[in-house]
Amino acid sequence: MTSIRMFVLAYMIFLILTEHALPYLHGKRLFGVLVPGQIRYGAEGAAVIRRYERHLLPWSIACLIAMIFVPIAWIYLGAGAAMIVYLIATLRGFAVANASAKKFAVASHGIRTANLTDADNDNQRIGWRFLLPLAVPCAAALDVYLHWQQIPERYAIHWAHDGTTNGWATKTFAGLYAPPLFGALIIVFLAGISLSILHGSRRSSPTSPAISLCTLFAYMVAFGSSLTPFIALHPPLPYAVFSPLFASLIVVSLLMLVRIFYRMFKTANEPGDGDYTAPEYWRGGMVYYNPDDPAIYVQTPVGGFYTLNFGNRASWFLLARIVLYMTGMAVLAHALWR
Amino acid sequence: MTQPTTISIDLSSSVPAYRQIVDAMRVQLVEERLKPGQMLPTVRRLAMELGVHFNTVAQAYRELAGEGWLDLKHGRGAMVIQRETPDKGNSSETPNPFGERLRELVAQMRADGVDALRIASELKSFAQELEK
Repeated sequence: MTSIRMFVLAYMIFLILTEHALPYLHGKRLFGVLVPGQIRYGAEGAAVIRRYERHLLPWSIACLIAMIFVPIAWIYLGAGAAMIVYLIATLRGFAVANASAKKFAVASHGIRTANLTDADNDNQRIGWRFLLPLAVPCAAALDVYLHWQQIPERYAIHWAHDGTTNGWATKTFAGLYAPPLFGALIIVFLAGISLSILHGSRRSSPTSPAISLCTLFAYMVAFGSSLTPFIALHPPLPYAVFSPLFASLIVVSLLMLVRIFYRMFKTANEPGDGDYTAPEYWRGGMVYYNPDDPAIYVQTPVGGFYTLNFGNRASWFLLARIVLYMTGMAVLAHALWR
Repeated sequence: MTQPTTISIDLSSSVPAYRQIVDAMRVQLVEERLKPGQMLPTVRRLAMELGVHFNTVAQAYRELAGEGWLDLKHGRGAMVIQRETPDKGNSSETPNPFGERLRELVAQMRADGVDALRIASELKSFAQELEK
């Protein structure tokens, strides 16, 4: 089995396991619907989960078989198509299960509680967190600008286990400036998302898992986007030094990622209703639409993520800004690599 | 670490949300759980947390500022200020709508479905607390 097929298969198995585990992620909710404990862990809850699993199982088997037997020439196309089909099947299964779970939903209540502290008024000051990761690609671009003449026309970018070079890149404007430029743009995007979550959601704080995730991604992007300019200008570190250093960075990042996801899971399952949103405002269990709610973001019914309140006009403006920003990046990428 | 002061409102109640906010905050102010100099959340933040329109919270803040409890600083939120309690005296000749308001409150609670005995018990325990 080729390595690319192994990779695609591993990713598909991960996706399938995640989707099958979906009903068990939240201790109090059944497919996003807050239900009494005796229903959640009783026969009714088990029946709803069984129906969802039965709906998903044929799709899971079909996608796995497709990944094993698809010709290697079509592996990328096949993998992409299989994942899209599988996600659509999951969404449909979730929507059906959500509709079934709504029959058992605890009665909606209108009780809202708020802390009378000004602690949240200073939330916008988290911008400084992104300054250091933003400075890294900027410094890398400046380094390239100041030492452009010293960069060889062809420089090493990949090395084998014995330290011999097995990958080269040619010196081009796009090849050297694009990674830090796009890195900086992605970090600005992540900072914007973090600020908008703080500004437009309930129960958010600078230490919330979603903000921590954006911060971690910003540091990962800062490191990744500065690597090419760095290795073009500086002699590579000995393999014995570079390899464990690189591996340690990946391990630390993964550990932090696991910790953040654990906190997300814990936040979603903590006592109380959390960011309570009545089930009648959730369409298909996934789309929140409540024009009377001033929140732009609300916590998703499954896990500690956030989703937009599509009933709020400000959410649509935010979505338009995100699409415009991404379109701008795509146009810039096209112009650079044309 | 002190517990943060919280207020709760019921969006399904027939009492307007701004009135519930004013009443809940006044309780905290009278009982000095909110102290002079303390900053309150911004209108936007409190509206978001309570799931009500910004104008609802702004109206509540304005009413409390009108009563002398808050100082509204433009763009910087609201601050609790020292308020001098108006001296109404104990004279029965002083026009005092207190009894009327209490009756209105009880009627409102009964209209919302709260049991009369429970209201009486709450009033008794509250009166005992005041007498201490």
